Amino acid sequence: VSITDQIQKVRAEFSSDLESLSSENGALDQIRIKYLGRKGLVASLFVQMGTVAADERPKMGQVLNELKSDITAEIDGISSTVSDSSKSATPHIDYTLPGDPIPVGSIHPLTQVMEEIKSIFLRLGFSIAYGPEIDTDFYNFEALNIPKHHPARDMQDTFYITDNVLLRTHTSDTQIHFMENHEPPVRIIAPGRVYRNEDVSVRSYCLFHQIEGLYVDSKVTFAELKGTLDYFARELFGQNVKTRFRPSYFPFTEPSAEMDVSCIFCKGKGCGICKKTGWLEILGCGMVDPEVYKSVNYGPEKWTGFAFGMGIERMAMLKYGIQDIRLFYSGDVRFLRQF
Amino acid sequence: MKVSLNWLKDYLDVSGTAEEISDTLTALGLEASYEITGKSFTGIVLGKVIECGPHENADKLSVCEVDIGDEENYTIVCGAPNVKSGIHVPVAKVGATLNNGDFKIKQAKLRGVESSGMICSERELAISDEHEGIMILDTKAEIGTPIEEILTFKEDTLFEIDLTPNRGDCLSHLGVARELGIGAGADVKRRAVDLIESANSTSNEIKVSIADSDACPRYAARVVTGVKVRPSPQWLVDRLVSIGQSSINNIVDAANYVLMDSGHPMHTFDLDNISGNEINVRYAKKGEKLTTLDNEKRDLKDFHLLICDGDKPIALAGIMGGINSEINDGTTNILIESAYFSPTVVRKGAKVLDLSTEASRRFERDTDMDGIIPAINQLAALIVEVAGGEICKGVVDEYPAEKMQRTIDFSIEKCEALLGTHIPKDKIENIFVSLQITHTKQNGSFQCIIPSFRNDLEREVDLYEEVARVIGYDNIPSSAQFTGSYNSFVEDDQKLDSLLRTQLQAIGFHEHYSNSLQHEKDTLHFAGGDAVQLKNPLSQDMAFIRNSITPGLLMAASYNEKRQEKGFKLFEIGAIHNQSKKSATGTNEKFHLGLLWYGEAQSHWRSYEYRDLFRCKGEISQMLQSVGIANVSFKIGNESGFQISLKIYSGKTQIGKVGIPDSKILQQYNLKVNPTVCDLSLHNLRELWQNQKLVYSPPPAFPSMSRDIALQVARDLPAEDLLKTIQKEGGYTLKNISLFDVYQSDEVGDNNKSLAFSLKFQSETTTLTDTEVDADVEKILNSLNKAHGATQR
Repeated sequence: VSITDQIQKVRAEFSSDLESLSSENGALDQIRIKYLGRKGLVASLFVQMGTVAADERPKMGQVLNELKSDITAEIDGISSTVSDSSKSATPHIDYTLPGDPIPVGSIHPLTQVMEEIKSIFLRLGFSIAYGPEIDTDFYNFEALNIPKHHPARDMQDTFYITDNVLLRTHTSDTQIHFMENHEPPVRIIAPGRVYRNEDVSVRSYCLFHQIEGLYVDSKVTFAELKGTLDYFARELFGQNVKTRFRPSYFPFTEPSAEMDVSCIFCKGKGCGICKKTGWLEILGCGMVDPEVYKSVNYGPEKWTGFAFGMGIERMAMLKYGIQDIRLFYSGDVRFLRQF
Repeated sequence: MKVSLNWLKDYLDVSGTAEEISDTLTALGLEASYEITGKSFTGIVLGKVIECGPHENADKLSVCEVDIGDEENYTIVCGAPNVKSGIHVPVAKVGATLNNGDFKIKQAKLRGVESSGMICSERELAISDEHEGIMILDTKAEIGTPIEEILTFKEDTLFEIDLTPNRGDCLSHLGVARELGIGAGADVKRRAVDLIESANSTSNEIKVSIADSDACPRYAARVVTGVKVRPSPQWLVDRLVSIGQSSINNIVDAANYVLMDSGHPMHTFDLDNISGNEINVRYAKKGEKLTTLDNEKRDLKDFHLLICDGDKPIALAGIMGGINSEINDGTTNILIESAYFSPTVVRKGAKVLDLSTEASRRFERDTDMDGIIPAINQLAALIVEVAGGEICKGVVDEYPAEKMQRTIDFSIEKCEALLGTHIPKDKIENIFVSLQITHTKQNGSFQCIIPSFRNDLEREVDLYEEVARVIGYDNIPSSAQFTGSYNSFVEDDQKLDSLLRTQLQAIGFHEHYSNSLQHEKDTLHFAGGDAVQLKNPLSQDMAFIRNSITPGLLMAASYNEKRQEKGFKLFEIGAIHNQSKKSATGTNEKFHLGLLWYGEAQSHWRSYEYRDLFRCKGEISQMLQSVGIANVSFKIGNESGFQISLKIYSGKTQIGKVGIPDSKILQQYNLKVNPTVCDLSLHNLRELWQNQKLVYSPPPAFPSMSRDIALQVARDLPAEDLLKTIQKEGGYTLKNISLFDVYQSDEVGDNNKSLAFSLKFQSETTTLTDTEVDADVEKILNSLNKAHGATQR
């Protein structure tokens, strides 16, 4: 059989192969290998060039190269326009068919609120520190001026692992861990998970998340505490929000305060969410109690500072109007998809 | 704690609205809310019945023309037997409300007659239970006058105060009045106690001895003889009921009244049941028992402080009395105890019995040593007032450890430095006066004598807080700038977490927060069962702390499966804990990243995503590469709890595992569809991430060449082996291998499979020639054949 005939035959076979091209994945690639592969039909024709008369070789070479480029173009054309799943070279494509539904995930609302709060304090020069969820009585209570048999322990129902080891009830333990390992100045926030031995209900869960703040330096004042938290409240809740500080009690701060913000729902007029007071309780704060400095071997005369702590769940519930705290931990994708 | 405004007025002329008073208390640190009690209606006015006739369709109803001062009269249908023309009555107009707004008067048709309002009975106005007829008023007031201006109501405002534990001194009306006095600049006035004593001396009736003066530094006793136990007079009942207490009998009520009034907890004993006429205050002995007033037999510990008579315990000091000396209907002679018990002793004792009483709550928060005698006198006088009898002469006052006055030095300068504001000296002096703090000037400071009821003021800084709260926190200006030091910055070692979160969100994962308190059975499969157990769990379902991130994800998958969710991906970042002897807490905390793939991708007109283990492997690699953790590989593992599992490596470090849980796990979590789960150690990832170095190399200047090879190998030969050989033999010019086809059919034989690879060659220094690349491919093929028996197809 002459090489010219063989070329014709290959062309014909190629056409028929394309006609019957299956939609199966890789089918086009098989054709590519069959014709253009290293041991493919085209290559074998090139091998036969040796048998062609020397004067015919250039012409034959040209014909063969045409064959190769035609086949290449045809295959490339098919694979670039429709992919090998379609056998028609010019199919009718309905471009109104919906695009692929690539799902977008979500970052948990608690993480989002936590990140937002973190970013505000990072702008104010705070660093981030962490404390352990399982801690000793010393870090969670004693060092924070909450001795055993003190009524302040009733403020926080505690899960115990042993008489001396517990699930921390607040992120304030991080204050102690951090100060033990760092000399002033200290300027940190400490996010984390905390636990309370409380029945699970719409309003309370056996765990929640807090962000603690601590600033200790040589001349920190109550006025600075107010300035810092005023800024924080405006950044988080909007520039028109008002704050109110009122005396409270935490054993590890003196003076102690609760900060309220004007109700973001009724603008302070009084509504169901703020219980008609016009104010929402947001966080507890105060000047670090000298007893705390003693626990970490800081000179109480030398340093002053402030600390604050807030619940992330409460912030997220306010922000998104979530009524049932348990939704946060349900893993319900119908809930999570919304964030 | 509930506080009545009427009661507070015994101590102070309180002015202002309920809201203003409530705000004043809140601003002083006594977080208050209020409700108004008494008048329970709106829109009731004085009316006059002008005409009264029978109802055509009802025997018992009358139809009245009533004048309520409007231009025209109203027709009101009334069912009361005592209605007649000419009488003055309270009329609820249309729109009026009764029963605190729960009942609204509307226009109505009664048996065919329109009625515009209601004539009210006393019960309807919540004045009394009288409802036999309407209320007839004898008044000259103008028709149309609001009825509350004619009738007097026991209107009151009840404040609910959420008291912080440091302010035990405010657990009474006296205490709250004192605080209000600070705001108003007024002193509280205490009524003089009208104490008439008999000739019989108290010391003839009772002797007191204290064994431990630390636990009980003071014990005062009085005796009232010849009382009659009976119901309390109405005023006393009303007072107690107004703050939500119930009335028992005159003696108990009197003691409760004084407790709520001036705050010192006292106890009354039936003197005739006290043997030997003696009181001994001592700690309980081993194995001692006492049946308390609530009829519970209490097993006592040696740290329980007891009040004993000549031969037995009769009360748990500061917590609850014993039933053996209880006041009963036949009691005639009473011993009153007014004592100081150590806060710690009372708290420890009450806590271990899980018993909290009005008395123990106050002793725990510390009581006023100097308030003991005024309180006992007040109670003795009140008992005589409401129960008769005579008070014996004098107080038996055993006071072995006299409490010293507390003095604190106060520096204005330091106070101003802490608060960050200037406070005039005279203002500070005024504040001290309002707090009953006696002060003397000393150079730049004050020496302050703290009143005995303020046990919470111990240090100078406590006085700074007093100054701040009396000035008002809101009157201390916020600083206008922030200060800070560069020395305070520390590195955040969890920064990677938020990068991972962002990437996982982008590839369709939802972040989950699961409960880290789990059932024991959740801790057994994935980590081996050395989970940390709680001593006092809420329930068995939450008795252990999670030791794997996986169960929380499986529970969430099950939750969603039950809610008809067909396909979703979840991830969680969180701490897990194991027991560890090495640490101070006996536990070890690690952070993990868990992933879960469930079900199918959303169905679509063409397939766009396979959800199988290969997809999961790809997404894991993608996520890790997105944060720069490269060189990720997988090895077949045999983890417990999995039907198929792979270990995940970055370089030589194992960083986690991925797999499909076995049927036992599916059953435990009630799952019908098998999810894929992955557990990655965040500690390892954080470390790899922090140590990674990004090395740049210039984009290649020379063209690349590709070669495809199709291999036929034994069906059970792992593809990974072929990949490794190709990698090894390919040398440095082999830049990329992709396995683009796997093919099994009769054509290649039952025991064989065909794998097709595309190889990309490129050199940084030269343009590769066909010959060079072909030689490399040949070398690879030879090695594949030698090592794996692979032949080219």
